[in-house]
Amino acid sequence: MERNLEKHLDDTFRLPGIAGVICTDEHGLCLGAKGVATRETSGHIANIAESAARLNPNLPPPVIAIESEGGSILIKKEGTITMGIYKSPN
Amino acid sequence: MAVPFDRIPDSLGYLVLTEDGAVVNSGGDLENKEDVANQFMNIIQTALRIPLSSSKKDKFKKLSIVWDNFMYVITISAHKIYICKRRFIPPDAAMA
Repeated sequence: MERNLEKHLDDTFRLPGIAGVICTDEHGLCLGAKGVATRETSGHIANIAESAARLNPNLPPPVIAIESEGGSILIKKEGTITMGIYKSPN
Repeated sequence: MAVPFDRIPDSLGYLVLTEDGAVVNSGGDLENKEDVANQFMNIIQTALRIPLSSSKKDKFKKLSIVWDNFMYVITISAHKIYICKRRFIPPDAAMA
């Protein structure tokens, strides 16, 4: 049932510079995780996306970038799905 | 101590908070916005719990929340949280 999603996650994970990828629903349920992304972070990722979207509820959900020396995470909510992409440091 | 947020290009507003979330300083679009500060604190505290690498000490250096035309850029330094609202101009794709 989740073959399409797994394929998309795989395709994204194989791109250069991508260390991990995670997909969650609006409740924080992990729908898929690859690489350094762990299922345990799905709740945090969903929470951040929802909280950031609530800062400006009249606008489409924003992109959240969390950057550190160990890499960065890009988070975006689209409808009921939230994606997190872990990028390795350059 | 006044923080020179006017030196940040395209700055639209700022908040300076203590680690507990109390507003120390604010200005521009974010002036006196304590409710918005509380919302930011929730986001920051969640972001601090996300492991960015195998090292547990790796906390984020910068947290950006980006919409089409503006963004909030957040950083923590010397036990204070700095939030700056800035205009966002997307870079043009390189023309072939």
